[in-house]
Amino acid sequence: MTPAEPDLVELTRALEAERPAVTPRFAREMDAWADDGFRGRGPRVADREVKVHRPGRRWGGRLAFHLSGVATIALCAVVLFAVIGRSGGADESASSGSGDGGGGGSVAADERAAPQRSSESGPSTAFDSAGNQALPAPPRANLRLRRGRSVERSASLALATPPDELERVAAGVSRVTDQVGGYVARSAVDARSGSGTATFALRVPASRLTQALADLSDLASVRSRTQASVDITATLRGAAERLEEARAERRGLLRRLERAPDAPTRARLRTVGRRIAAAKAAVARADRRADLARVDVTLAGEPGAGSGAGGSARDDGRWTPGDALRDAARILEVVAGGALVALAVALPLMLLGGPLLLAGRHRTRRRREAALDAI
Amino acid sequence: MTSTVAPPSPAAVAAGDLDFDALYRGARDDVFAYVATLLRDAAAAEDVTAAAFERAFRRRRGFDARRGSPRAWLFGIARNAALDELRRRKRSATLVGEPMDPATSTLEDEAELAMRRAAVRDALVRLDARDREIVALRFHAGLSGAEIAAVLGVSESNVGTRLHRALEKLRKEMSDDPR
Repeated sequence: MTPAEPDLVELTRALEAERPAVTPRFAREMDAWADDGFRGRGPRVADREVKVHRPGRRWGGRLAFHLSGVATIALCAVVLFAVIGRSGGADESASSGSGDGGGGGSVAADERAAPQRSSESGPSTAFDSAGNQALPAPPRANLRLRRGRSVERSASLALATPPDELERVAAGVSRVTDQVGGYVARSAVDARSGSGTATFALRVPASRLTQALADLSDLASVRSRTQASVDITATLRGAAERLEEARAERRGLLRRLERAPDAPTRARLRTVGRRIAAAKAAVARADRRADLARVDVTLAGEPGAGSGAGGSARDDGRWTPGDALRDAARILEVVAGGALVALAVALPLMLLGGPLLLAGRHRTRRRREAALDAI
Repeated sequence: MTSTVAPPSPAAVAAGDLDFDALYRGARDDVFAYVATLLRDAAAAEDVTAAAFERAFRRRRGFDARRGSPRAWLFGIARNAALDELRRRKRSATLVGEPMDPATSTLEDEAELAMRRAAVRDALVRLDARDREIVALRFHAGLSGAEIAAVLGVSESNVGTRLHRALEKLRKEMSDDPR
């Protein structure tokens, strides 16, 4: 600006002359701080009336940044735990049979519903031709109709191992079955020099089938592995309905006997009683089919077969470098997967935080400008 | 404006294109003059000046020469610090014990000139903050029109207009002054 009027020139000179000057004391303090390389806080920090007031940093931007950081970390932790938990209990894909109730069932739901009853069962039990074991009748509570679908699960596993390890692996099959709460319904081991075979019919809790198959697969080389499921909901519901019908008829007969006892009613009552027993047994059988999964294991002694993935480690409890590498690889997989998911979550948060940050800065700027108008 | 630029000290800090030590040496007095005029409080002005340089030093790596001169950048930080102080105090501060430049006091010993200066000083105090601020940036801090525009976030033409209006108000205040 170029002042054109003489009085304006005089005014500007007067303004310049009124320029406040730094006191020598303050100048010394500031110069000392500058000579020290501006290290630490500036001079007179303790006496400073001015609080370093950065409302735009405290609110809006800083809050959004911290919130998004905390949320990201929390989400990472949740995702990691969820991935680890799911990978530990994940089931493999299974082929569903047509069943006698129509359509595949909700296996997961039945896994949750299946009670752990295998511990009540004894080892090595005789089987009939249909493969149904002779077990005592289950408690009455287990006869209640399940919610959702009932699925009978089965699997077959073909393993191969060096002939000299056949008996060790066979012992491992029994051990794994015990560990998951199942039992060996039938077994046959034929150990010969240079070859040998072993067969097992296992019954394991349906909820532990995945774990059992994984542990069995670690004992030796897997040649084949199949799984199947059959929806037996209709069978179980039919048996339960027959049971309820028979009970209702029995209640009616008992009321009739109270009013007018007669021989035909008593005979009918005995017949209905036999029907109730048969229906209970049918429900119990269906329950057992859903609760216990059948696993057929065949073990072949092959000279060229390798050991299982974690055979020696599982057999004697040692943790080998191979186990360490597998565990490390698994951990890296999980971490990478978790990081990817966390990034997918963090990006939208950051996109939200950006506008928040801008809004915070805009508000701070407005409030600062408003301070000028307030005085 | 008098500002002595001392040779860079051994502890001079350079970040990118910004020689912070040289900036400090050349702008310290100007920053204080601007802040003191705006706040009308010498003690608070010292605090705010120290805080402004402290903030600027912490942010020196964020300086972008494409967005303005180093002085404009520094005065922007000083302005925010001063406005934060105003918000914190939320009151008008009266200038307390403003120090006089010993070099000029010997030259301004004529009574008429002393009265004139007193009139200018009082008129400046009575100006509203926005007008006082732009006067301080121009005549006390010595910033150019472009630098003032960068500090205030307005156009240069707007700066010229506002400065002209502020000076007109000053003249009117002084003409209304009975002295």
